[in-house]
Amino acid sequence: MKGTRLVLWAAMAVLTGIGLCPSVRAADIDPATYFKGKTITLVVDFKPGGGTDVQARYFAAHFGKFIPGDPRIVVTNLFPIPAGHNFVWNAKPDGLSISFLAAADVGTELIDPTAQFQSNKFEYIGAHTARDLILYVRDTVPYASLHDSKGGKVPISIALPISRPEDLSGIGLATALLSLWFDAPLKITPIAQTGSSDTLLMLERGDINGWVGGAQWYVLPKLRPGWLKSGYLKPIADMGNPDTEPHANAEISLPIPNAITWLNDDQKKIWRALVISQVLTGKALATSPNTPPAVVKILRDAYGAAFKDKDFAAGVEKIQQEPVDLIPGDKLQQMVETSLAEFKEQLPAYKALQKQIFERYVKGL
Amino acid sequence: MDGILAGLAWLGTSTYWIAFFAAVFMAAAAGLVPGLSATLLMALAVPFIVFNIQDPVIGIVMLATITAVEEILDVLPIVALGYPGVGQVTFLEARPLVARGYAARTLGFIYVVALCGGLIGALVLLLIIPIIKPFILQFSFAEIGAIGIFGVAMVGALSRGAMIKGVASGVFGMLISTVGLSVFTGEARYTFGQLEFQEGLPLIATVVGLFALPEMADLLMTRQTVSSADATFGTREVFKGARIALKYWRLIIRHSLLGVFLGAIPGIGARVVSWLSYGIGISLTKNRRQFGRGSYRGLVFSEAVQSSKEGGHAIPTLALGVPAGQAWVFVVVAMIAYGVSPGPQFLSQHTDIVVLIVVSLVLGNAMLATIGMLWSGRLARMSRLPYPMLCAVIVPLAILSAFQETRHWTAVPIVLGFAGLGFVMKYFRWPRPPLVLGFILGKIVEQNMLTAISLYGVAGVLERPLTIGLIIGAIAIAVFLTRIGNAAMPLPASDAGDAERRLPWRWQDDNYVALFFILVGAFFIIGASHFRLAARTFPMALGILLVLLSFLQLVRNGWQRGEADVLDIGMMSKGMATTRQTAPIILGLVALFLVVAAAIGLQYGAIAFAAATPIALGAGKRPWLSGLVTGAIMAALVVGLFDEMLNVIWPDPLVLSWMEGSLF
Repeated sequence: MKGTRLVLWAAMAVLTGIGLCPSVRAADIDPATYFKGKTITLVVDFKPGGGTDVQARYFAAHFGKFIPGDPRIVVTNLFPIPAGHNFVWNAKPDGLSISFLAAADVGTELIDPTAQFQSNKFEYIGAHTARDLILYVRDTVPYASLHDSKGGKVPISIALPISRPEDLSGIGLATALLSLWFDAPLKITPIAQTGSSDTLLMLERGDINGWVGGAQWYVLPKLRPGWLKSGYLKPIADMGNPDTEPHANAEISLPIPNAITWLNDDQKKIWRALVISQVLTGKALATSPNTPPAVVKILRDAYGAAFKDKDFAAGVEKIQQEPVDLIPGDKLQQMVETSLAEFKEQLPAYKALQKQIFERYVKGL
Repeated sequence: MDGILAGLAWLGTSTYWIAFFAAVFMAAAAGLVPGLSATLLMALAVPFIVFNIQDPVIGIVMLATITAVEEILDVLPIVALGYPGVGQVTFLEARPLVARGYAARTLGFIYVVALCGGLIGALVLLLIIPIIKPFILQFSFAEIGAIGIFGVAMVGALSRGAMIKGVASGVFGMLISTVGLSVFTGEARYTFGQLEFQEGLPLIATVVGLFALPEMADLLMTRQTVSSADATFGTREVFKGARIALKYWRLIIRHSLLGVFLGAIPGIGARVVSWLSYGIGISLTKNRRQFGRGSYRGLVFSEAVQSSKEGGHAIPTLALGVPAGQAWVFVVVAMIAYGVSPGPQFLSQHTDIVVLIVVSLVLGNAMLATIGMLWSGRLARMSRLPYPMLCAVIVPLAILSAFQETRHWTAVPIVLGFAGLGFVMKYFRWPRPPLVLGFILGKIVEQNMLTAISLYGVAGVLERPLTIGLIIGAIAIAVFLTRIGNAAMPLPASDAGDAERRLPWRWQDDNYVALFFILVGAFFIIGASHFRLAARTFPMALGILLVLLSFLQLVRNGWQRGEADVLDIGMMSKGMATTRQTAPIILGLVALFLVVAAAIGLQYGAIAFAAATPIALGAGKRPWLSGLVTGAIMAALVVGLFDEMLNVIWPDPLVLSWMEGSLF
């Protein structure tokens, strides 16, 4: 009995010692061996299936060999958003939990009460796609651009899942904000979360005549060959990050300038803060805050090396069907810092605009 | 013609056959391992296949084959292990047959029905894929919502003998489907502030709790095996089942076609087709008393559609690039990655792929059915294993599978909470099938109908002929089923006598369920009063209906005597001497599981349960050895399946979290 008690106390002491030690001592890190024999978990914010999940699984299979020690990489799905992001925020700062982001949604924490994180505190490893955001309409809609639709009689009818009606974000916010500024005849139809294939079916059936697509700009010629070329579907607003212009897709190049060129200086500030913050990048990787710089460096170097490898980059392009637009981790870190600061600065304007958007486009739904 | 020949030419290559056998092997694994769904398997397989198989024809065909034939073998756990999983319709009819000793025969029957369903699905896919587009475009939100309402009418068919109880159960199911974020107003409904509830109650956790665990607990309390002692096994018995199946060829064709039809409509959902087919099948059958008692017809209604719906799912996937089933999403992902465009041009440009998919579906179905039939004679013997040993592994596996679906600890209280409700409903003869149907259909009806109204307006919805036709059909069927349901269920003679003597109203024990439903209904009504109109209407209306129906049942029940003949599996252990001894042990094991899971981790709770069950229930000649074996099996599953393959992140145990929070 006495012996058992002694063992228990000893175990408690060892556990306490382990707990009190920082999980990773910066001085102990040897880049060549740090990840050897370890497992990195890539956390995806969505259920299995879909572009982000499949791409994360591609990373799991091929990214490890670019990290010294060739660690095993596994994918896990934690949902709904932002459960996965919250998990990585709370994980040990050892570089073994990495969020595989569909987009670096900066500022989510300012508007979503379920977000436990601060986006600028994550350690960004890098981003490899631009986040395009394009408003398309059917050929039955007579406007050449959203800017031209002022006072138009034909409504631009889009379908959106609405999770917070008084706080539209992302696609909804971008479209509604421009429509508000241009007095565009926007009509929002709330729908359940659907994939782009369902939305394309709605367009084909005539249920809606407008659609906001992201990465689909590149996939569309494969999903619906001829739609863009024939003008059956036409882009009327490019609402993506103006610093990363979309490439031409297999059918057309974007025939309109970026929406920011239509805005006055005040509007530009607000637009950059509230919308561009959420479309800063497409797919990106970030690990837990306070991860030792040496560990972050290993991961950033590996990320850079992976995309220098032609086969790896070609594989990513094959699975995501859009060109690689690489943003190194340190640059992305700065972009996120700046963007979050801009968002915070424009928070009062955001709240006032959300009220107007709610009154005009959402309240009557 | 060239395309067809090019497709068939692949059959002469070794590449095709290697890929085909690999696909069938993976499908078999997914079918046999509880917790490994087709969706998960596809998520694991897609990156591997797309980047290792360069030829798009082989890659796409391989993925389509895995998706389409995966469900054939998943009847084995239902029949041999008494574990319903999410195949409750098949379980309802298979369970009584197995209990009578026909496990091998039932498996043979099901494989043939599933094979025929798969063949018909593949054939219809080939025939109608070129002309399907206008049909699919007809089915918008209003029509899908109307099919949901049509399905709700089937609650009547599942409420034989206890119409009010059945309808109340169905309404309860629909009501709990409203938990989660309203997609129209963004309001969190009945989520208790939990992020994890925003997507609604998880299907597997809810259904496994409601159906699977009560059945297993009941069987444990009987201290018997899944199959009776005089059961006959062997391949001959399997083929006997196969021969019986062929006698039902007309029904097989009818329900396979129904499966293709339902499968081809994007938005209907794979889980609902068996229930719809079962409800329709019962409605069209004269002798409805046979259902729920081991009816071969019932098995046809369930299994023919399950298999043929995959051919249906393939139609919009290939013809429009719109995946109708969850696993088919991956086929579209792979097609795009290979640079192959789904859609009308796919059929003309890639006839070889269409032909090869059809051939592979036929061959895959045939191969898995053959494997099933050849092995079933032996595998069915598992139904004679001591049930504490089976249960020791299956119960924790069911809970971990439910956890795996949500990846959050809330799955555990959901499973156990619904297990409690399911057990009480089973004990007091409240039918559970309408609850499951209502739960699956609730979301389909609400989301599609409200979307349709927001797109077309109420008047616009009422101008859509297909929608109106389906709703009128639903009302007619509901009225018809209510009439025949009441007419077919005269009170037993003694009860009729009681009714004539007008005995005084008396409290019945099964009123506790009604009382519970009234409380839940009231809770939902009060909660709904704070929501906006679009989020409020559905739960408010259903809550009121539930309270009224339950109150009516409660009042009416006081004058009724005797047990109604409901369509559900009753308590096998009721009145048995073993029940009193076993019930506390089961509760103790559940408590052990909870304590260990909370203290050191969910996975260890599962292993502890697996190891302790045979010991506590005295399974086999050496319970300790049995406990070691089941504990080792569970540990292997935790490490091999959940840790290594599915990469599950286990929830932090409460004690460790508390220690971290308070000490460090």
